[in-house]
Amino acid sequence: MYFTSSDAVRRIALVDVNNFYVSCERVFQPRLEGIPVVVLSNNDGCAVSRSAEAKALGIAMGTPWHLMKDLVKKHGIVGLSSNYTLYGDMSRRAMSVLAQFAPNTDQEIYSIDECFLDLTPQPQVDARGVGAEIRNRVKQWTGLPVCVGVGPTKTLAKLANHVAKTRPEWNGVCDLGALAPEARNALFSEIGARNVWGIGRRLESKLVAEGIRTVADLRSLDPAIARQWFSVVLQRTVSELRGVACLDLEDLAPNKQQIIASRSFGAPVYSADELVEGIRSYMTRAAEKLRRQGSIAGMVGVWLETNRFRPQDPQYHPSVSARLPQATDDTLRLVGFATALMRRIFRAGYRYVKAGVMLWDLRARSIVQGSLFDASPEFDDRRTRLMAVLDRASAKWGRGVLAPGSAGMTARWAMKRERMTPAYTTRWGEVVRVRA
Amino acid sequence: MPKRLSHGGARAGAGRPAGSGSYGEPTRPLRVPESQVEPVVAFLVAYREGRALEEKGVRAVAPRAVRPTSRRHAIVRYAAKVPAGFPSPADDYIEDVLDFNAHLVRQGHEAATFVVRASGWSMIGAGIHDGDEIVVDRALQARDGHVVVAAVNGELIVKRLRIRGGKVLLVSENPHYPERVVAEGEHLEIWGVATRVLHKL
Repeated sequence: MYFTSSDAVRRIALVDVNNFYVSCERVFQPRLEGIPVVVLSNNDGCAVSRSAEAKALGIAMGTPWHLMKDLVKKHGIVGLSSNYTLYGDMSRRAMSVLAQFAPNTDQEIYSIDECFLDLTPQPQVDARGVGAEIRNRVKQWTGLPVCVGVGPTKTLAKLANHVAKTRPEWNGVCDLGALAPEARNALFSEIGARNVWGIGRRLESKLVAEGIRTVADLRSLDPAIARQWFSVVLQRTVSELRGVACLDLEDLAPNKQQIIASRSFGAPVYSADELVEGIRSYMTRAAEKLRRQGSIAGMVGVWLETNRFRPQDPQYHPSVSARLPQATDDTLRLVGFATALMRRIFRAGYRYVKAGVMLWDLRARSIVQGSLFDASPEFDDRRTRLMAVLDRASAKWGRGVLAPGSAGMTARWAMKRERMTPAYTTRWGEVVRVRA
Repeated sequence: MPKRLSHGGARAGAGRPAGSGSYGEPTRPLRVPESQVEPVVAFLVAYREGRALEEKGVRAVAPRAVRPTSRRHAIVRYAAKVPAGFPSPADDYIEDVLDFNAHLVRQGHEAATFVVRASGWSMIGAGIHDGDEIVVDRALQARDGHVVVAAVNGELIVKRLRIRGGKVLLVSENPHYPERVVAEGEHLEIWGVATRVLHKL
């Protein structure tokens, strides 16, 4: 009734890594498997990633470490500081493996651990089969566990992913298109509307007040009524649940932990200058989103891609990320950094078809950390010299030994140094040791 | 006394002039063992091609024959693939510096290639010293005889994998270290296959 035959042909897969930061740590410390682990954010020591065991102990996202002390003692919870360098590199690897399953134009990296793959141009491919292959290959190549959800729209793909993740009987892959309508409706009646992309806590309570509790309830809502009673965004969500693709990613503005702007080029690009144009426009867009959500970014990442599906082209898929000397939301600064990073990884002689930028290590903008202090040239000059001192110090004594302070950070420094794992994949001196 | 024959025999100026054959230089016949015929012919084809390119002004890499091992065929490195179409930029007609990345990381497996550091001496027989860096490829299928990094009961170790009947063994390459049978109920996961060890002298 809701899925027309043309919609049944459209297939979007959402692949995401289970508990991404924790999973990255587990690749290099297998002893962390099966035990409660939380990864804490570096600026305020709150849980930003929890293993299944930690979730089972009732630790919610955002719980500060000092409030977990009793549970830690009782259950031996391991707490680690965020190792962004490692996570960035592992993300790049996972996305690179996923890129093997669809051409550049059909892969959309949504966040550091989620990506959409448009399988529509590959109708001959069995979605569950390819989903299983994706799981196996990502796990083997990178050690990261992923789940795959497939549906005719992005909202449904995300819902399918939720099913794959929360119900073990699906073995990590859920293709909504493979279900008979009765089975699909039965499934939808079992899932709370809260789990639909874009439905937050506040909207959920408003919906419940109207008797809309499950996904099935939400789906049965007339899109016109949805718009009238709630918002045009909800109207789009309901349409998407019904199999009609109409959601623009820009419409959803929950606070994400990363902001990504990436696109395939209309025509292949060979020169650095042309690439700079692309990077500049993507970063401008990303910076706008950043400011709109009231955040500043502490890290910037850039990547380039050649066309994997043209084997006659030499392949080159570099990526690089860097910590900003000072977290910012200033477009000019961010564009400048992104451009410099791009020039570092650029190599001539390749036929580039796609590029992307990522802003992460996001924190709330505070007065102290705004762009107020960046105005004067003397400050810039002093800061450049300060940065040089910091670089020499970290080259000599290791990362993180000295860094710019900011309000509210001092208490966390001890935690950051003690609990951050090494840069296993980016520094020769810090690669993981194996017993011989 | 036999009559002097008026036909046949060597004549001045007869025969193909030396150096006019396909190699552009004098040749001589040579006996080649049966097992090496194929690689030698391939070498000569590549050699001839290389010369033809040089003629055209393209600097070509002279094919180098590797000293044959006692059991296997000689491995000959071609200057260029036998042409089957347009030369692509990926062909190494043009000589560049030695690319260490391409050499140590298998093309296509970059996302699956990691470096680990050996801690201990149990694998010295495989050429792995304490402190050596090991390049590990997770995309390769681990087979009997491979040196692998494995997670055993939560610990990462490097050993040679042996599969004997149904049993999985992790064997050391040092007479002082015993082999390790992976018992029932023990948790073993292959982390990756070791492809290269980097040893600092």
